[in-house]
Amino acid sequence: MSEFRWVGKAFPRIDGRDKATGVAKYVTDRVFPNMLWGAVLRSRYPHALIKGIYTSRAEASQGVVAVLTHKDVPGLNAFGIINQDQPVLCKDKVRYLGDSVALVLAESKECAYNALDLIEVDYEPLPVVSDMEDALQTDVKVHEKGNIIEHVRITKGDVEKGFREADLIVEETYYTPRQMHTFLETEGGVATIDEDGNITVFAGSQYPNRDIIQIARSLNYPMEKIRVIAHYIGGGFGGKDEITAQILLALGTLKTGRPVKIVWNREESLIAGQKRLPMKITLKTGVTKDGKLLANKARIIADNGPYTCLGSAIMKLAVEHASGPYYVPHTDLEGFSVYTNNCIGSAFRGFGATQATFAIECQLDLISKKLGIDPLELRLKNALRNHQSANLGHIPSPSVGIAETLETLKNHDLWKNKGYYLKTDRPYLKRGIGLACSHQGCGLGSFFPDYGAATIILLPGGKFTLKIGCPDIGQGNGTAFVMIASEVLCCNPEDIELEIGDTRSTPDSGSTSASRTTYTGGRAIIEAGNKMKANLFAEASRMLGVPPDSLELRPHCVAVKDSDLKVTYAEIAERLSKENRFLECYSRFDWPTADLEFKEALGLPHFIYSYISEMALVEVNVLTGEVSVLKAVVSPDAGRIINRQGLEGQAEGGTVMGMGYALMEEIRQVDGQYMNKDLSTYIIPTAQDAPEIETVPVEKYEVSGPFGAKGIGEAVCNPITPAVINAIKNALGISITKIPATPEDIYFMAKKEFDLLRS
Amino acid sequence: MLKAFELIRPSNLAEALAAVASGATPLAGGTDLLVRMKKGMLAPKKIVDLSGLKELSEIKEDEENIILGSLVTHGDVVDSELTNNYLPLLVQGCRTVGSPQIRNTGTLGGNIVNASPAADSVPPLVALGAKVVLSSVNGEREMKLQEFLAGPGKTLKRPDELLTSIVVKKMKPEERCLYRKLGQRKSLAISIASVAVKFGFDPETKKCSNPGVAFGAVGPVVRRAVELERLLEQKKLDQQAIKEIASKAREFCDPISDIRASAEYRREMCCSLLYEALYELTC
Ligand SMILES: Cc1cc2nc3c(=O)[nH]c(=O)nc-3n(C[C@H](O)[C@H](O)[C@H](O)COP(=O)(O)OP(=O)(O)OC[C@H]3O[C@@H](n4cnc5c(N)ncnc54)[C@H](O)[C@@H]3O)c2cc1C
Repeated sequence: MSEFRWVGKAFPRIDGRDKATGVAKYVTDRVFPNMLWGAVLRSRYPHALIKGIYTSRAEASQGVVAVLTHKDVPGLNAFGIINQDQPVLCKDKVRYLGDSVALVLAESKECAYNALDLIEVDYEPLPVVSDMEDALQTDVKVHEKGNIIEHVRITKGDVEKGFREADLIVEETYYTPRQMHTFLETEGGVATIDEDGNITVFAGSQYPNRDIIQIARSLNYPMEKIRVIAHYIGGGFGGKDEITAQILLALGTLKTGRPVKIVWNREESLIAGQKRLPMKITLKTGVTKDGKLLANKARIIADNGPYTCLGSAIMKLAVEHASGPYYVPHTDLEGFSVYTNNCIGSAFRGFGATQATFAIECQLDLISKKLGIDPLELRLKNALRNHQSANLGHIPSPSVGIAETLETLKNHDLWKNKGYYLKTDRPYLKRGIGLACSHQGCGLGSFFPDYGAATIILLPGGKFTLKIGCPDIGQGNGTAFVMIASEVLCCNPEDIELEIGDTRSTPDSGSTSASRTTYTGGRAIIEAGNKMKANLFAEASRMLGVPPDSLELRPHCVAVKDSDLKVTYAEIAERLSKENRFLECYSRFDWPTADLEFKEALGLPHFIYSYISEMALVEVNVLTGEVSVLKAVVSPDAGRIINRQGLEGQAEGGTVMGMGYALMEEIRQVDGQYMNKDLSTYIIPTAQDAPEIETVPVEKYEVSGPFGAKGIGEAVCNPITPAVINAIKNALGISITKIPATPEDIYFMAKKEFDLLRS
Repeated sequence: MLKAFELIRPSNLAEALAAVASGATPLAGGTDLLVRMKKGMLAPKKIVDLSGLKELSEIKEDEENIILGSLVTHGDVVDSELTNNYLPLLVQGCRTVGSPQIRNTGTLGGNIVNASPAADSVPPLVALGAKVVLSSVNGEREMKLQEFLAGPGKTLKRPDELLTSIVVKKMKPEERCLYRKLGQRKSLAISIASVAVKFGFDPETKKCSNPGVAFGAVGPVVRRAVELERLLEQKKLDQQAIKEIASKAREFCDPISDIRASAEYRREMCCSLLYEALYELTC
């Protein structure tokens, strides 16, 4: 029997029923009496000077209450987590087609959108920076200070020495696309203001506490008078980490005194929303003839679009992950993040590690092919072990499970009996198996304060309230929190009432991002829970007249060890109430950090990583280039599993998302214009495209984690992309260095080999 | 966003015909029309909602034909015993349309009148030599579907006409058929290219009879590839022959390049899809 009552079990989502039946209301579903609709006027050009904005016709239009421009922004007309370089409402320049130029507030959605056409803006178009290499050279500046947002270079050992000692050097350049989160609920929310000037913003947000700072700064408004509630949210995946509509919502309600709702439509979300940023990654890798990695040199450029958002941090994570979860003695890793007039690049599940994983894992397959070494053995040979120095020269926390995840795949039937799975009964169908590894730094890394906090309150009746800030954006951390609390407090999950994602009532627990919340929140909950436990012992000891150290928790009660003598939580709560007291326990938890810090690359490195290996079986139709991913086997190491069902959900969702990235997803831009603008041309996988997915976890105990857990929300998105690409290469013997690899691309690449109609 | 319009809900075909005669735009499942209206590409003042008209929703048979009311949905075609027995090629086509929701809402009539070159029920119907029946207050006329289709988004339907039914010769039990659609993903995909093939086949002699071949999404309209049909009839369909015939398919299309695919890829796909279909039907 497991030592745990809840931890490690498959537990259904606490909000599953409400979401499935529509009882749960997303933030953008909220409606208030007397509510106005806001519509945002977007830029007409990808790059232009604004010579004048004329709003009088729009203001006179039916149902319009106000038209706001830069003049109406009371505080700093700029926001951004890293650099405040994005205007709330553009004043003299637009830098991409998604830029906000004006906000119309009207009695109905129709009136608001109709009025957009009546706003006249004088633009003077500027040359467009659309290519990231170009951005480094051109005289055209997206921002005054130039087009380089950040440049980092981190070395370990002596890379040239590594290349000299290498028997084989492989050099290749890889390209990754701009991917959209395609959350169910687009960006937006509702804001209200009361007669005392208290503003409440219900918004799709991954960090409501940070939103308050940004809203207050732009509105020049006291933070105490702003509340952000981020619950329920229809998906985030990183795309709601930076501000989207929050400041405009607050501004709208402040200016009109009425509730204001803004919901970006799908096309707006595509054009204006943040995306996974495209990268060009050149790798030069040196290896001995028996497959030992000696040196890896990377040059990475990231197309950040017009504003920093989290882009420069993402570029740095690509640098950190550019040599994969392997021991490489000599590395030289360089990255640039540059401004362009394309769509904004920002956080997306994987946060730069995804792009880096694609490059290094394709590179490893190339090496395996050139050396004639089995791709799994090659990876196993180089897999990072506990206490070895990682990519940037630091020693990660000793929960390095990459080798175990590879062993798991090695022992799987799909790998052992490849021959069987690779057979097809049609001359035009070719099958291949590919695999890839990845890792993902959990948390915010060095330098940045990274903490979590939770409050637990004993309620009358013996139940508990659990309060925690970092929102549940749909990934199920709320369920994990409740399971952890139930475990510590020895009660049923139904006995925990969760409050989450509300800046007024829940303690700041950091952002929901960076594979961090189950770990951080979990630790804070355990510590708050332990305080609660100590308090319960103290009360029970008083009530039962026994010393606290003779007590233990049993379901819903404190009992004397080896005895039937006990007092229930309900009885303790009742007693406290009579004495005019209550129990509330708060605890904060701070992340451990690595033994190294880079002044010139703040945030790097991470200390704790999740590890993962995945393999895919694909079938390619060489007549058309179509790829069917038939099976995926994923072996994640997320430390101890908290919720088995949650882990599998992440592994499956991440696999499908990464598969879409490999095969079909891309926002194509030419000269800052969008070639695809809606979901009929931006293609994501459907259930029909999803493979059979098997999750076989490895649980490498993380000493600092809640019950030994690490994070997993992002790593699951990384290895499947190169695994699928490597499988296609395996099937066809072709080379692929650019994703998405569409049927058309694959068809023309394969045609030389397999021209069935000519042979 | 939808603009305001007048909605007419007729209780029978005569009322519906009167409404179109007065200039109302027909609405069937709305899966094409409403999308366009929401995008602001169309803003009809008057709309006649056909969806209540039982007389246009039936699948019937006579001695030789299956008669499909224009309001028959793709889902109806997939489920009906008559179509499964006599028009398996059409069933295959309708099964690839959109998603279950779209198949249960979108109609054959809408698919045809919308006249997209990528409409998935159309290549099967054209390959089967289907006819359409058009009605107006002044009477009824019938024409071959292939002639009815005049260009992307264009048909020979007059503004006062409704498409009321589609008449298709029953396939013979020994006839083989395949609808092969290539999309950007496995469902909810708009065809990049597609082919509908049907013929009688004698596995002994490898000779084929009564062939029908039509390509979708590779020209302004779906049309029968009569020359390919002739080749199919002439040759003994061994491996060599099906390769030769399939290789000629590129000559019978006139594709465009768009966000989904290049013209060159589409051209090559005519050959590939035809080859795959012939392989599946003869090997
Ligand atoms: C998400 C989505 C996915 C789709 N996927 C596919 C797909 O895979 N394959 C495919 O082929 N199509 C697809 N479609 C398009 C559409 O669903 C089909 O074309 C459908 O058959 C249209 O039928 P409807 O009844 O909805 O037509 P409507 O939208 O009601 O009408 C379409 C046009 O035909 C006219 N019309 C309709 N009925 C008549 C009639 N009886 N007489 C005269 N005029 C008439 C209307 O005035 C209008 O101009 C998709 C659409 C959506 C929204």
